[in-house]
Amino acid sequence: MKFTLRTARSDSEQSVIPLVNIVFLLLIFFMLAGQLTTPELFRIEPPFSDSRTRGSTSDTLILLSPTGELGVDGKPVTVEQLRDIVAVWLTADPATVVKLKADASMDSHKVIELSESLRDQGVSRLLLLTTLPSG
Amino acid sequence: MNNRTLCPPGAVCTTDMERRRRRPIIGLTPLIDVVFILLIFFMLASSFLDWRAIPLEVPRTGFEPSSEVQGVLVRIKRGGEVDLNGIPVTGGALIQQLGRLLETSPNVRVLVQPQAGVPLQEVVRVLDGLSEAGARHVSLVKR
Repeated sequence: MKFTLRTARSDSEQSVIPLVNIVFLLLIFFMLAGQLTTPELFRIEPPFSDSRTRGSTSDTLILLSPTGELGVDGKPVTVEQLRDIVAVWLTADPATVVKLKADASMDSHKVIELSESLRDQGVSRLLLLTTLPSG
Repeated sequence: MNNRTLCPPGAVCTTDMERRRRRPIIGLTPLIDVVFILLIFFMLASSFLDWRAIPLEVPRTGFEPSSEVQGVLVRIKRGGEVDLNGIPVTGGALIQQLGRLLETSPNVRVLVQPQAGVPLQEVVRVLDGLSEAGARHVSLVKR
């Protein structure tokens, strides 16, 4: 009786080892392949493009929600606040390239209006963030 | 052997050796718990989006087209029709005609003017075509 009890327990530990292996592999895959991101302020579906220029969502990024709200660094900002933030970027580096993340379905004129107000502040280059079409 | 003799008859007793073999130093279950939590964290926190970018120029105010900097105008209508300098073109023809123009003057400035209400995806599709044609100076304008 005692003998069978002991083998049952060691069997259950043995059978869990392949599971642990797979979980470890998945863990390592997600750690290496994924990029850690903060939750988005707005729900933005970026446009698809075949552009070969690589983009990133790190610093000097402006979010433009489908309803026209602005966000920087995960915080909603007003037009005036954005102006101050961009002024700080430009004093740090006058050739700052501002990245813009906007929704694919939104009116392109909203994007142009924002780019014109950035131009008035002295921004000369803009990167419009897109993603590769899936599949 | 000594242990066995100390064990009262009828009781379930184990030797030190047996006890050590049965319980490993680090239990597997807490390890699996921690690994699962880490796995779930990385699954939820990571993103696999492959970010691309379209470089756009924002011409300064007071920009005056000089004789050496040529400009072409690409207009996008609400239905998705595109015209190049006022002449309606299809996507493929736009790339060809612009490509020919860019061969002779590579620094030509391309102004893209979408009509109000044209979705950004439509504009990005045209911008993709322009970069395929080899345009390097692309700007978005309202009017």
